[in-house]
Amino acid sequence: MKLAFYSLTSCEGCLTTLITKLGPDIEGLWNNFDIDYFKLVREPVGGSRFPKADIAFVEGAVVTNLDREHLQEIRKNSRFVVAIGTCASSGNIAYTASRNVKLGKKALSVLEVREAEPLSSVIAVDFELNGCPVNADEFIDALLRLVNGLEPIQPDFSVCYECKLSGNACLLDKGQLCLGPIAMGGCDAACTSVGSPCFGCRGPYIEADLEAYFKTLEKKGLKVEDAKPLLYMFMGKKIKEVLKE
Amino acid sequence: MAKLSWHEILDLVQDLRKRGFEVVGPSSEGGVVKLVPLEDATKLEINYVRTLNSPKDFLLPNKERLFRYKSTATITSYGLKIRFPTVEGPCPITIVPEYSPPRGRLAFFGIHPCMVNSIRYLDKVMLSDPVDPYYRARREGLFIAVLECEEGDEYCFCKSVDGDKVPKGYADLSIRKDGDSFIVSARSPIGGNLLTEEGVEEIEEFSPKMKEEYILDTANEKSIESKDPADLLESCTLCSSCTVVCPTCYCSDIQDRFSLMDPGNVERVRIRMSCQRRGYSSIAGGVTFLKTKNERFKWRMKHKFPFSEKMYNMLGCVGCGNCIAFCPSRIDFRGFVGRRVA
Repeated sequence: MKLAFYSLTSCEGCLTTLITKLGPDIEGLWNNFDIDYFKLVREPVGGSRFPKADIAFVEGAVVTNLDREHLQEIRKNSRFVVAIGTCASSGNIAYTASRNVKLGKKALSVLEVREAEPLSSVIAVDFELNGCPVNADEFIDALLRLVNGLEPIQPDFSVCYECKLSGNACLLDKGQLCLGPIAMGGCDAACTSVGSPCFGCRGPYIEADLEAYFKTLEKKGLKVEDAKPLLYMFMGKKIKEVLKE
Repeated sequence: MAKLSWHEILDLVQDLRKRGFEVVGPSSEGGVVKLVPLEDATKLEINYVRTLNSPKDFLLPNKERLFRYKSTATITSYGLKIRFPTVEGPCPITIVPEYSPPRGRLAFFGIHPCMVNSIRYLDKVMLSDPVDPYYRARREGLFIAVLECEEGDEYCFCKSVDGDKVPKGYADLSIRKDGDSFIVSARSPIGGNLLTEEGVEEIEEFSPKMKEEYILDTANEKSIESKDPADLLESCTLCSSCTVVCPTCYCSDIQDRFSLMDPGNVERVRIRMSCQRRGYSSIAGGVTFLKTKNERFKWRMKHKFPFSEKMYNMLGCVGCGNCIAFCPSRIDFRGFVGRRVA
């Protein structure tokens, strides 16, 4: 089975995470699959720049015109396209930032920069793995399910769920703004376990109820307005859809 | 009965450890009190009302391996249609369960009567036919030292559900605060042995002071069904914290875990599930039975009260109030299934 790992405009942190966090599994990945393209590790010399693949994993947001062209090429050559990381699934920080920064016409034409978009704005994406960076265990689970012809599972729980399982005191109780109740879990409450509030880097979870979340904040004496910049930070296009603004 | 100082209480913990018990007790960590393995006896915290986690986390861990099985498949380059987890032979009857061996016998030191009642409830669920062998392995030889609770906080309501009395056979020691010292009584031969005393004492039951008392209408499934919790659940984000911190929520999910390194060995694990999650009532075809938060809340109430009453002759709620105290928006179900009387 052929796999390919591509990178669009991003910090390349997701692919780096896969390489560093897979541990012994990375060997299994190389031994069990044909990988013709892995940004940072193996890139084709000559021939097709985007080899045919059964599953293509793409990180990064679509920011430049070149990104757009590459992505369309990837879609044509791959049977299954999986967006990995929040940049690819919701546009991440670049989504909101590129809409708030005014670029001169000259800069736009020289750099061919556009407003950042997630992959799903440009092509049909078959599955999205969230996280900034992506979670290596979740990647393995998704890959093995795909190999079996099954659709991978999106976590159906919030960060609060895993945070309580990890035995943490609630940060909202301490008066800190935390997106835990609406953010998608699956990260093992990595941030809240070390005392930092959740910024919702995996986007809103499938049943996120913003109205209820705002009511919760009011009950705690926290300001809803203060939460909005946090919501826009990582959740990009996804929060725009939920907020309907 | 013995009157012990704080140091002597800590010596009891050390003594239990020397006898091969893994001693679990309340300890203050990061702003909350929770049950942790007491490797250092001085970490024991005795002035607390509630713990974030409960004995359930040790008797029914969040994730445990049930067994491994062999799969004959390997990954080849045919495409996406390969079935990976095929079991060797027509039926996996030769599977030998692999118990995750408990590190030693468990001992809960300094837990409140409500938590002791939650162990009794888990026993009823897990040890009734068919017996859960994983739970039984952890449960065997369990030692319990109950710390009597003097006064609950505003979320406690154990008296309203009879969770304040320690059931018979569920305590080896009972500890009562008496000024700066502690009155410790032996409630079982093992407890007596630890105190180097003969005989078992029948002590007068102690009941904590409650800030609030309720009369709960618990047996009636129809009355729960007929009420509308929409106003109560306005601020519920379905985060499922209530079921995580509940000492009696035992629902679980079964998953097969594959590894890329060794595709032939598949691990079947049991992980915690919550009725507040969509996956709890989702079936093949994408159908979900409990769609809204109102339905899921009612389901939780029905399971705790009428269903448990019918199946185990015991309420599934011990009145610890954890689900209210640790809910991000403090959603209080007590007014929904009953009314406040004091």
